[in-house]
Amino acid sequence: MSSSGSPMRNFLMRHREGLLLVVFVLSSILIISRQVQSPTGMSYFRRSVITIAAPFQSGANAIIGGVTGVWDDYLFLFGTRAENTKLREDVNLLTSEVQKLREELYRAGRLKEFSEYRFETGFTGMAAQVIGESPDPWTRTIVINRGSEEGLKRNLPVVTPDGLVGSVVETSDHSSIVRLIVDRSSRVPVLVSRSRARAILEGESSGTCQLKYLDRTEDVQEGDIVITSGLAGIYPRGIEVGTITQILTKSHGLYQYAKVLPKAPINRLEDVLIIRTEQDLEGE
Amino acid sequence: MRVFYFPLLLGSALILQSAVISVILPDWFVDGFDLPLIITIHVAMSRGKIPGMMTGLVVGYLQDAMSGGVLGFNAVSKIIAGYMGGYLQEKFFARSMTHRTASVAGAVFMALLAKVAVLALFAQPGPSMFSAQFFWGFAGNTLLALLVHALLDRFEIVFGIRAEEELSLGD
Repeated sequence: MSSSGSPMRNFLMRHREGLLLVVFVLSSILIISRQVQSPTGMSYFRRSVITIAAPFQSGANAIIGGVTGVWDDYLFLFGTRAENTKLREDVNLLTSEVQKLREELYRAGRLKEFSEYRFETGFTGMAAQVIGESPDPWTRTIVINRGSEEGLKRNLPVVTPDGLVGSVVETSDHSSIVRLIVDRSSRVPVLVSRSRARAILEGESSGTCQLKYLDRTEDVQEGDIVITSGLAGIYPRGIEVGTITQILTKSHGLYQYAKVLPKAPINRLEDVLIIRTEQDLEGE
Repeated sequence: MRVFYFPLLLGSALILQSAVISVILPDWFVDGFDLPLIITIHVAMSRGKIPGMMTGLVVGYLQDAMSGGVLGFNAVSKIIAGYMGGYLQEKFFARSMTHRTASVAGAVFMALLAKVAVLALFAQPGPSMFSAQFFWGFAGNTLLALLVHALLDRFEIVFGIRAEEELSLGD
C-alpha cells in the first residue's frame, strides 16, 4: 500500500508548486466565468471588502489632504527669523483658520452648485465625497462615502454640475464604487445634441471616451456637445456628457467614430451628486 | 512583528494605491504603478513561489473587489507574478543587479501578459499587448519594483524580519 502511495506522494511533493499554480489559476478562471455569465455573483465578498477598506481609504485620503495642506500653508513659513516666532504662530493660526474657512466656503460653493443643478434639472439626489480610487491601474472607478444605508443602489447615475461622471456599480453600508465613464467597460447611450445622432459612448481609460456605432451618414462636428439619450434606463435623458474633439472616419465600414472629452473633471473629482431616477424612486 | 508584517504590507499597498497613488498622479502615469503587483513579486523573490502565489491570490482578489470589476482578473495576473518571481529568482539566483532587473522585468511582463490574455479570453475590454498602456505598465512597474524592493530589503533587515544572509543582492 505504502509502495503504491509513495510515488504519488513523491510526484505531488515534487510538483507541488506547479500544481498549486494550475489549481489557483483554474479556480480563478472558473470564478471569472461564473461572474461573466451572472454579474451579480460574489457580491457578499466584494461588499465585505469595500466595507472594511472604506474607513482606511477615507483616513488615508484625509491624511493626504492634511499633508498637502501643511505643505502648502506652513512649510514655506519655517525659514522666517527667530524673533518672528510669535508673529509666525499667529500667522500659522490665521492661515490655518483661513484654510479651513476656504475649504468650507469651497464645499459650500460646491453644494450650492449641486443644489442649483438639482433645481434646474428637477433631479432628486444626494451629494457624496470621493474617498478613494481603484487600486487596479487598468480600471477607472472611484469610491464615495455614501452607501446602501443612505439609499444608494447599483446603476444609479453619478454626475457633477459639469456633466456625467458614471454610475454606481457596487454598494456597501456607507460607501459605494462608481464606474467612471472613462472606464473601458463603461457604455452610455448618447445623442449628439445638435444633430440628434445616436451612438454609444465607451471609455478609453486614458481620460477620454469614444463614440461608437455612430452612423457614418450622421452630421457630427468637432465641438458638438454629447448628452445622454435616456435609452437603457440607467441615465436620464439630457445630462451633458462631453464635447467631441476629433472625428475618425474610415474609408470603409458602416460607422464613424469620434473622440469625446468628458465635461466633468474626471481626474480631479472631489464631490459628486448621485441622481435618484424615476424608476428607482418608483421601486421604493 | 513577522506575523503582522506581510498582512500590513499588503494592506498598506492596497490603501496607498487606491487612496494616494491613484488620487495624486495623473491617469496615464498611474498605469505604471501597481504597488500590489510589486509587493507580490517582492514576496515571491524573497520567500519563494508558494508564498508568492498565495500573496498574489489574496491581493489580486482584494484589488478586484475594491475596483468594482469582475473578480479574478487581477488574481490570475498576481498568481502568475508570484510564481514567476519565485521561479526566476531560483533559476537565476538573482544576485547581480542585471539578473535582478531581468527577473523583476520577467515577472512584471508575465503578470501583465496574463491579465491581457484572461481579459481577452472573456471578451472583456482592456489594453492590447502592443499599447502604450501595456508598455508603460511594464517599464514603470519594473523600475518602481527595483526601488521598492531595495527599500523593503533594507527595512526587513533593520527590523529583523529577514536575516542579511537571506538577501538576494548580497554582493
